[in-house]
Amino acid sequence: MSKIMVSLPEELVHEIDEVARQRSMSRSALLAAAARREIARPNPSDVDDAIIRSEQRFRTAGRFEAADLVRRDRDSRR
Amino acid sequence: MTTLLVDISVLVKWFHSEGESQLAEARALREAARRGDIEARVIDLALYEMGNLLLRSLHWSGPDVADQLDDLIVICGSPLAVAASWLRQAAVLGAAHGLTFYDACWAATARALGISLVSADVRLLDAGLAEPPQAAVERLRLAPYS
Repeated sequence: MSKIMVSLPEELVHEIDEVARQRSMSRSALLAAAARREIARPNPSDVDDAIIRSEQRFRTAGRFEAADLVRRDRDSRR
Repeated sequence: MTTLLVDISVLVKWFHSEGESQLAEARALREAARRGDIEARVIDLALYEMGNLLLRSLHWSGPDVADQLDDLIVICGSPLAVAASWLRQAAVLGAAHGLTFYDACWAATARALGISLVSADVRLLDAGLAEPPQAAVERLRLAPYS
């Protein structure tokens, strides 16, 4: 297990400690869980590019209400 | 961070505009997910539903459908695999609310994970198993989309 030194705003440290206490976790365990979650999060620039590409594909899809289209498709499986 | 299970009836509104209702609310959710303020997840069924919709209803080409599904995974992360115990819950919900097993899987997953299902699908909303985008935006006090 590596030990590291990090600098955090004092108020944030208080919040971390409070949440860790409520969840019966150590401060390190809470921070590790938060870091894992952040690492697993999609890369923001990849997400931006994917959204732009998606909007471009749907631009010529025509006029429709997604909820109606989805419902029709779901009902066809009944 | 709040995690939401986002139905494809809302996900399509993230990218498509013409004729859509609740567009600003759906896009507010998208932007919150993009910023990392919320986590938007889908179940594996979403890929099949989206693929079918694009292929059969919108008549997209195969490569475009495949590309769109790839992008959906980039945006929402790997879809959640529906666990065996959730299938049991889906069967109960489907029977209780007169839903198809497919529809019930969405609601059962949200229940099992203790998260909200956000949907624009009238059948899920009428069953009280999902909240509309507007309700989610208000509940989470998300910034309006402009």
